[in-house]
Amino acid sequence: MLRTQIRRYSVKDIPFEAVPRNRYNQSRSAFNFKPKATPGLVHNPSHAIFQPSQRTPRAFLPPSDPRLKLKDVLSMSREDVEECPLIYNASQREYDLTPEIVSEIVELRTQDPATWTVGKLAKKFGIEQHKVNVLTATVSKERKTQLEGELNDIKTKWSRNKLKGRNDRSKRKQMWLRNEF
Amino acid sequence: MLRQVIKRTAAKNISLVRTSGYVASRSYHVTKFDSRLKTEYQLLTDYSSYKHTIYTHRLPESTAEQCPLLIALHSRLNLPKEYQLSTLSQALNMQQFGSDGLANNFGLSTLGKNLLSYYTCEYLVMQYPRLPMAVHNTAVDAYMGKLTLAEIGKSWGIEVDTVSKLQHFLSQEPEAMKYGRLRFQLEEEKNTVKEDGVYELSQVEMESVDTNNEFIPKEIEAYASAVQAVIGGLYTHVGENATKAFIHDHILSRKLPVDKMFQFSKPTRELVRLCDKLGFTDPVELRLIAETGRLSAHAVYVAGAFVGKEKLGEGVGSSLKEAKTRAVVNALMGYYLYSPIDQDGNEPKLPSEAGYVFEEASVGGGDVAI
Repeated sequence: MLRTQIRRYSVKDIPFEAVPRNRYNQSRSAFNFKPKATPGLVHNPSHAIFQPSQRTPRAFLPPSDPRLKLKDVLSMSREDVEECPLIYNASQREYDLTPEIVSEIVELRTQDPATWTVGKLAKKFGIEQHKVNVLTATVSKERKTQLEGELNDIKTKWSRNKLKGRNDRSKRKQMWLRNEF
Repeated sequence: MLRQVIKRTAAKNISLVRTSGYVASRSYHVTKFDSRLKTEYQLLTDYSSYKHTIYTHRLPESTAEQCPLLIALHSRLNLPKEYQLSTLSQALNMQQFGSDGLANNFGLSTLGKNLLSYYTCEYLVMQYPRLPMAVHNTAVDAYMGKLTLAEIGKSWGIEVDTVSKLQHFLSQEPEAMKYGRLRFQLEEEKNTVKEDGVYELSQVEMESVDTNNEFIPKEIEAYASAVQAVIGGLYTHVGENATKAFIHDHILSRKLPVDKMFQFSKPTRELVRLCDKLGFTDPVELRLIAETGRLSAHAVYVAGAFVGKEKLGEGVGSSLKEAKTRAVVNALMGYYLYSPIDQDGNEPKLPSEAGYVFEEASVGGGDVAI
């Protein structure tokens, strides 16, 4: 039934419109941009962050590399760099720890790790906590296993959602270190 | 499982004392007696009188020509005319001193393996001279490890010979057919019923389980050795240049995502040490280039690693820590994944190519101690 109806219907009866007609006029609209090609060679870098495998930073190129002769289009001026706020500065590394202080810290931590916690030692000697951590990492293995046990006890009380959240967080951190998204 | 394995080998060594002779095996310290070599001697303590009476021979070329599988494989791999079909058949034979007395592929695959490791190493070292050792080893393994070679062998269309003598007889299959298949199974193994997805380790396979409790099936090993042996055979017939071209076409042309093989543990420390080693006058600085929505649920930060005004790397993250870590990892990978080019912008010449100059090659500075 339907098939015969379709067959009888001539194509010529249907009005032809190459472009749908509506209130928006395509040819006269102000949004009617036409691409205009720039003559000659154009540098059109990717809008994404450069993958390290695509481009070696200029500072890491050996002096014999011919890429050093190319025009440096990507680097910023020194003023622009200095306007960006600093997160970490390697020149702020301090070497004020003497062997005497180190041995004293290690001794205190070995004698009584419960009283001389990392935080207390850092406060006493006026240094950062992670430095104390690095210095005394190997001295008290018993204390370390004890703390790990305590942490595991706390973890057993965590809800399933919290545990999942913490696990996901550590997995995400590993992804940063692999340059994965 | 490992303890079991050790116990078994120890027990076997003790039983060896009573048998007629010792033969130094491929492994270093353990001498194993191999009865298949049919060793004869006049006096047990007179080692000079020891003689293997095993007889091996190569498959006649006329028999090999009757095997359609060999001819198909030969033309599929586009091997040169000089490459004999009997050598191809030998490359597919992994059976040690089998009942048919045919020469196996041990020598050919050793030769092929050495050629493969040389050309793979040469290519990788020239392509990425600064790769850390661990990544380099992983990359070599990804190019020419057993699993990869087995995959290549399967894609070449090599079949495993699973047809037992009885099935062979009942199906009235021509005798020459089996010489075109990968032969590594013993006759009794062929008759065992196999359940899909279930794999029972045999006595020999139990002994091959290594210290990491990793196990590579015999089939994978056989495929890999066949691929290596085909390459070894190519060298014996047509020489080095054709073999090199074959390796470049079949092995090194595969895409290898070296940038996905990195995993840093302390990236900031590593970058600072690296820049110390490179002797930059300016210190390493991590700076915030852009940010949006700091007080929103989905903040975005863009951080950059700088030395002076030179940007080493850039990273995006939803926290300052993430952006910073990503920027540093990006910078480190920018250093390690450096690939040299020559003055005309082409890939540099390999040491095995004519016109290679050592002075023009880029030499990596070695790993950084954190």
